[in-house]
Amino acid sequence: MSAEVLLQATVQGLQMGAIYALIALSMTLIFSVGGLLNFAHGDFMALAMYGALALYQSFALDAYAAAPLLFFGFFLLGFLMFRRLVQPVLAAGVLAGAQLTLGLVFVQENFLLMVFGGDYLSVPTVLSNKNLVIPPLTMPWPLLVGSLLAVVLAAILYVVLMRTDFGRQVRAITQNSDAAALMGIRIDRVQAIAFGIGIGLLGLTGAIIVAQFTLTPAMGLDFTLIALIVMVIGGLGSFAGSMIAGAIIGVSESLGSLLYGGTVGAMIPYAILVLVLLFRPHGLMGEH
Amino acid sequence: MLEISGLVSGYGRISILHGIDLRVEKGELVALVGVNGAGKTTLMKTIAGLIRPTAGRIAFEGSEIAGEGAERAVAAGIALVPEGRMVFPRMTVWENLMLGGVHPRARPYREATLERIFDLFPRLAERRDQKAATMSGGEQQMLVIGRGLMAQPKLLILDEPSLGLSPLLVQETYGALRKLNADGLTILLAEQNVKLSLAVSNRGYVIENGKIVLTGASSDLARDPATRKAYLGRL
Amino acid sequence: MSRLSRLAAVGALALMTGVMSVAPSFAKDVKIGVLMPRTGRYAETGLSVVRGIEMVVNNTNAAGGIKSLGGGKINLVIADNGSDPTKTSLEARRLMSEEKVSFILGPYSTPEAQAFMPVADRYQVGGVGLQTTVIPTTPYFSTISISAEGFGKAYADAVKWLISKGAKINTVAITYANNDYGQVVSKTAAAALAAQGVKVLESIAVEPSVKDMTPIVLRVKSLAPDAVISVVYFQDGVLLHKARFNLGYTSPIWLGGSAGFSDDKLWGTLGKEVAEKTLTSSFGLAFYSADGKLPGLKDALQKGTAAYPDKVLDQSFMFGVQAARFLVQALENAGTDDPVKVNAAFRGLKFKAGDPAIVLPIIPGDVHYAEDGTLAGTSAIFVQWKDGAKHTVYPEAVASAKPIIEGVK
Repeated sequence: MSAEVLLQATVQGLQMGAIYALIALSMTLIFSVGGLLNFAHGDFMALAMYGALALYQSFALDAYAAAPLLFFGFFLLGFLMFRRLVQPVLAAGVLAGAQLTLGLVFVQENFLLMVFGGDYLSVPTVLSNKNLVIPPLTMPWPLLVGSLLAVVLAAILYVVLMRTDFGRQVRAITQNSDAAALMGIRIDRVQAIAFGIGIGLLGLTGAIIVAQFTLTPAMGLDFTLIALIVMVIGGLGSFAGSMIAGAIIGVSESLGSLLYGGTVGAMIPYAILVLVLLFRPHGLMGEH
Repeated sequence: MLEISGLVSGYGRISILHGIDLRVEKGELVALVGVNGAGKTTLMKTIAGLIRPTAGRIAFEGSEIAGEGAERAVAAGIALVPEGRMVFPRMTVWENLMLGGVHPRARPYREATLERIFDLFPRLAERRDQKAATMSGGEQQMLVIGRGLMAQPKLLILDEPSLGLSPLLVQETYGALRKLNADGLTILLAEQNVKLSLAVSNRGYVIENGKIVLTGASSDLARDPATRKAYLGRL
Repeated sequence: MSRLSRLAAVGALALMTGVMSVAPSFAKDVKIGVLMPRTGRYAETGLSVVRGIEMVVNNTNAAGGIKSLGGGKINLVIADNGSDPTKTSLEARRLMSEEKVSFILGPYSTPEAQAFMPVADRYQVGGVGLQTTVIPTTPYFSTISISAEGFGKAYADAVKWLISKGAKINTVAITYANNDYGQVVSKTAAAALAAQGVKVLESIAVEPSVKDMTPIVLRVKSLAPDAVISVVYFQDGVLLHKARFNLGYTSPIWLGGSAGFSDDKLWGTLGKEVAEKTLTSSFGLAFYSADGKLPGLKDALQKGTAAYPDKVLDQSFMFGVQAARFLVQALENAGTDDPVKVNAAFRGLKFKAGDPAIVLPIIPGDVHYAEDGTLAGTSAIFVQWKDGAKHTVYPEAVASAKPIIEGVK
């Protein structure tokens, strides 16, 4: 295997990894709100991708231009959903919350099936099929933009969570919600906003990476799986950990497929997950 | 300042408080004493809005706050320093204190209050950037008191501040409370340590099985044979 | 002519007219089940199949029904299996035991067929699978598609044909979807190619849920084969073409299928830019292409356009038509509605090349049912794309265009 090919596969893997990390970031945020594991995560993103499709078909709006719109739309969706649906269920326990998100998987998949049908669809964007070529490397622009955005968003999220009052409130609720209430923190509102931002980020993510994928109503599950793996490897609640884990998964998957074929490549994320759980149960950057 | 009458409260369908009457006047340091399980913590939590009472009234500076929630209590000027040192373990001392003053009522004075708290507890200033979980029990107790003060309370409620502290640290903590009270802060103190709490307070209440059984000036209570027999004798 | 023979002739005539005048009262309608997904994942496909079946049945009934049943009409009992194997089994049972159908058109997919076969075997009512790549395990189930082994062989045959056309193919790399179907196709193709003296450099397994095909294409590229065979579904196929496009690796002769190289929606999904760079030079294995040179297909397209002017007459529609036309012939041959006899007649079907009952281009010549319930005489077809339209190039018997082969004039 030539060095050129190895380099190309590594760069490709890094970019895919950044996309994985981007999806895991919002899952990490949602998890930091009352420990909710969102199994409908990938499905919300699929919904955003179909949203980008609808905006493109109706108004010829490019997915990249639609990204901020989808962010706000999904923020509202998340905010309202938390208030009306998630919060009452979550009050009955984290398990009930997880079951609710499992239910949302079916609701969303069938909704997409009903509205858009079961066929494969794609959304053309200004960046579709454009490559940045820096010999010997070829980098698809959609992946490049997605991965840069992942890094920027991770940094913003880190700053917001670690350096602002809002972020401290979110963390306070996670660490001790009774004590947080005693500080006069409006737990329900802070959580609804954090959940809204998490879902909003998925709206943004869906629009940014739609050029890279083919749309089908059941596509969400694969993304949920990869986000879960990345989040657990990185350490629950750690944004830096998700970024690093995304990169590790992306590169190892890519190099594994290149060197040993696609089946080995596809097994690698699970193998890494098992190793991490064995030797660092709290993840690479997780706190005890 | 605080006027409680006929308060019935508890968890779910189980009532723990069966008609509590209690008053705290501005500038007082009032002690609430009783054994473990008498209902002290339930009463504190109900005043702070964490538990919704089933009957009775809680008036604070003339307005009703019973069952209005913790945010309302903080907004009115009540801060509870909970039992068991509920710090935010994975945050630094500074972050814990900042959260204490996160309510809009307290936020504008945060920097100034922080200075005062660092004066009161110099140890917290030294540990400013340390994670709360890594500190000793006494330091954590200082932290939660400091955090409570960050909310700019008119009434500071403390639940068992001496629990699990060494005698030296207990002295230090009580010294700080006395100083705060002398500076004009109204304090309601719940304690199992009857001797100590009656020594620092102006007035006291004795709670037993969710009912107030005795009340009066702390010095009288400390001399009262009933109190002596029931609590002090055991010390 | 003797008196006796004259008498016999008159008697015979009288008997004949007697029979003929009595015939209408013997006209026997026949109940046929249709077991297709009309909800769930494959709903669109199932609905299209049902349109094809209904068209043939309506035309047959309008033209006087089944002659051997005295002009009996076909009554369809349509059941929905919700794209689900469990429901397939339940509905099959209901059609056989309660509706008492004589035969079932369906089910559609391989998992559905696996749920269907034990039921058919128990109730002794036959069925025909439309897009099932399994080999039937009961005499009461037949298929009209091609088995996975058939696909594997088709790739090797196509490579042989390309070599005969002047292509230089000494080495081949295979990528395959890592499941039962993909493994069988890959293995059969590799064995057949080796037997032809073509060297298979490597067979690379790819999970169908793959999210990026770039590393796989890089691996293929580093092998530098003369030709590549890719067994892909739709989504992994799209990712394959995108990776080929992004890496600018379009030089080897690329064969593949089925959905990822020949689905009607592929060109639109990829977009013109990518499709022109990848699909136009590829050979896509397919079950169906509307341009196939068959009289039965032209007739079905004409009637279909008249019956459903606003619908796309896709592959699924034509499979429905094919199944229904086979059944009409089987009923005609059986002359009864007894399920066992109808099934035997179905298994006994034989058609000559060019018979109007044949609509699928995968049946280029004479055809009959083999012992195992698969059609003998089918061959996968290969299409090439040009400006968004598919053109059949192989087998030449049904081809509508000449192949464009990289490096061959």
